[in-house]
Amino acid sequence: MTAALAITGATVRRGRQVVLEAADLVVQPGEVVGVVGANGAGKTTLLRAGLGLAHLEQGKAELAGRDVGHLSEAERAALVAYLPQERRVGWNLPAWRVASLGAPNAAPKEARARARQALARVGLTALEDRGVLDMSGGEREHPFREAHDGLLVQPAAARGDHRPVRGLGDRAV
Amino acid sequence: MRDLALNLALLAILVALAAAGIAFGETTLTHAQVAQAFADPHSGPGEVLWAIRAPRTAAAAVVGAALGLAGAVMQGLLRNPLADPGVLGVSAGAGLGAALAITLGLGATAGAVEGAALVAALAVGALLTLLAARFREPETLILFGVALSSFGGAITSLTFNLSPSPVTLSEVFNWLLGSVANRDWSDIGRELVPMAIGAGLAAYAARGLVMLSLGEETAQLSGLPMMRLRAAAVAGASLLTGAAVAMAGIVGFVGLAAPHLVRAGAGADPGRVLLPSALSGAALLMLADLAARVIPTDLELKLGVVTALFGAPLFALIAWRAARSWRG
Repeated sequence: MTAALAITGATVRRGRQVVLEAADLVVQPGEVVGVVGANGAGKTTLLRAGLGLAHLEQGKAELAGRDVGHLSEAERAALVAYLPQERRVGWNLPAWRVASLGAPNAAPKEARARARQALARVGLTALEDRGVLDMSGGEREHPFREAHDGLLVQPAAARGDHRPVRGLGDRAV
Repeated sequence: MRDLALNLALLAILVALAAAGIAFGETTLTHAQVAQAFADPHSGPGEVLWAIRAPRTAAAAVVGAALGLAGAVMQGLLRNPLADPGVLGVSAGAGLGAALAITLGLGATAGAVEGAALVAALAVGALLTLLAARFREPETLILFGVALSSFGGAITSLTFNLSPSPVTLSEVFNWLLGSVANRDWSDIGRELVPMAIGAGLAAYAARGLVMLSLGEETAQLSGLPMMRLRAAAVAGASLLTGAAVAMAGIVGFVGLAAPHLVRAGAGADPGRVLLPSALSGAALLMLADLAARVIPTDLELKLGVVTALFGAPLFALIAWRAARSWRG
């Protein structure tokens, strides 16, 4: 079986410092993997390397058997979803609009419908037209965060259930 | 529907301002003279209306629209409500180009100063496009912009410093203050081409700007070709700013203020805010140009001075209110 994610001998440098050295990771489809490590150990860097977000000094990263550097943006988005640590939303967009960004290549109407469905799934229908920056800390914190992360994986989930690396860095316990 | 209503309302304001721009000026025309101007465009009053006021009003509108659109693109790109074409250093670059052209004695050559301004703006834009591809963090781009802006300003000051002739000096200075007076239709037509290309690039980049609301990394993995969209945004904003500076000198604050006026109406969406920003930018600059004409001073006020005089306090007010909501 082709691994959903395969990182081989990945070395990443930030400035002069080596932040990841010859790291290997293989994740099979359907597998749930948590990465445990001290702060600064390189958990997020490992994930970013696997996603093609960090430049690999050495080694390679493959998604579904294909070199991540050779995937088009749309192909990569179909294979992985990623919820980065930084979740500041830049503008006071309504909740449904934020959610609809999970389907950037869908027609606006369809993206909107899918966003509303997904918000309904996490019980956020009442807040769907509310600006995300207008939400109270609590409102944004628990239900909205789930909606946000659940929705951003929509395109991947819809196209074949590759959800191997979601939240790896952040969820490491 | 709400977008349509907003844009139509802004268009109605523009039509009203255009009418005012043709009706008011240094010379007061009687009703009979206005009627004569409509009946015979080549009569004296006709010349005033159609050869002086109309192109001037149109120039204010297109320059304002270009700056408003460029400002909206930059704010979306950098996720920063305080961003502006000036922040990127494009205005300073264009100003430097014009200053150099004038200092080199090309002030009288038709189109030379404007051409130099546009070319310099494009050079800064090209540099920024390269930097934007290399450094993904919006803060980095702002810092480069500030550096480029200061550097452009310094070289412009240097040309002042080393300029042997006070005539050249005042010529450069006048140009840098910004104005749409004495423009004719061919001046406007010349800049419409780069502006149209810039507007096209901005429209193409719109969906990338929306995605950037969620942050750099999320956008990068969204499936959109972010590098291309980002480059289009920078190039489009540079073209728009360069063409605006080429036509009217350096006019500040419009790019900063226009998006703020319409952001709430466009649902805070950085893509949907583009068109209303262009329209509100046009309205702002037409209003500023009317003020420059109508405020009774011995020497007519320069457009850049008017926008700064009214724009800076207005902007401080907007920032004050925005800061309150951020704290909340």
